[in-house]
Amino acid sequence: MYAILEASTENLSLMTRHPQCNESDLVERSQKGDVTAFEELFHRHQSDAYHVAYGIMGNVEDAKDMTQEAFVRAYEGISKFKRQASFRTWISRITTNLCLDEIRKRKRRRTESIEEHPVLEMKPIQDSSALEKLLKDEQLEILQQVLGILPEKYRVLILLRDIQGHSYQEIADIVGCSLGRVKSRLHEARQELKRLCVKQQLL
Amino acid sequence: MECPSIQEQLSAYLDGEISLEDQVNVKCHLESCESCAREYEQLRRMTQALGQIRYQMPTDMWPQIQQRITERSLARRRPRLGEWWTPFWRPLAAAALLVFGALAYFWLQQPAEDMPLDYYLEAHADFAVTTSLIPDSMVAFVLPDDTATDDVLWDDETDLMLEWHFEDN
Repeated sequence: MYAILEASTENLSLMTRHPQCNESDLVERSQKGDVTAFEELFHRHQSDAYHVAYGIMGNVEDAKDMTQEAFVRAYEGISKFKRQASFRTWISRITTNLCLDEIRKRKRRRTESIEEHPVLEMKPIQDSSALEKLLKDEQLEILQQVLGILPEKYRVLILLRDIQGHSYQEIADIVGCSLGRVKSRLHEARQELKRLCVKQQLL
Repeated sequence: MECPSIQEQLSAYLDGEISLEDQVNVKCHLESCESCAREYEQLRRMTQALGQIRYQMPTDMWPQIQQRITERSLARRRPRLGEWWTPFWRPLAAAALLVFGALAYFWLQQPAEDMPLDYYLEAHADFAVTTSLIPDSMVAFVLPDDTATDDVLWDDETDLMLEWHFEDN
């Protein structure tokens, strides 16, 4: 019993080793080469990077690899991080660029197999009460599959806005385009996703 | 405002990313237009559902990140050949090249009298005796010292003296 308690306390302390530190301090210390400060930044923002990576790559292995690579690149380039945007926005930008580059490379090489492709098979829903069950787990799973069918350029925006909750300005910083373009592209992305959801009787 | 232009703004309206004036316009339109209101409701439900998506996080990502960071920083400490060629080394390398060039020049300009004369003479004589470049109309032969004449080439210091005799015909 005590052992479990101790273990969980240790886990807790591991996850929040620098609870008193604000992000700016952690970034500054990381810039001076403090790996433990960077580890804390990783624990705080791994979810942001991983969700973007998983959403774009569509499988656990690639998402994990891209997230790890994104943090390695972030550590190597942190001296150049000017802190005009938040670390969260910055790591999301690195992850997004890495994933999109990787997808482009794979398309060029044409070596990807069907199993590796993020596009998932559509499974039509026969249940007529799908609308009421939209928020339930099984519907969410189907929604994820539908999201996987969207082109990357749309999927990235949906992920950053609707799953990660970034503002339009942050999205513009992450994908490197204008605010107006984010607005129009997100509108297109949602229209396309809505069309697919209606086709799947999710809406 | 017409429905198409309202529908184009629904997405940004949902996110609160349009001006206050446009927000009022869209809101008024939605209250009076059933079609656009239905469109908005679909969008709202969809984004709400998307907001509930949470991917299961892997638990063991940090050790590999730490390993990669360490490996790459070690690799950077051993610079490759090309990386030595930094702006700091360039002027030094240029100066070294200049000094080497100057030394080489002066060494090559050293006076030739340092070379032993005998060496030249022997080499010249050997060449003349052993080569067959002499035309058929000419005969070359070695004369002993006591037959030296004014026509004999070369000076007294040499052991071998050469004289060219042209055949009468």
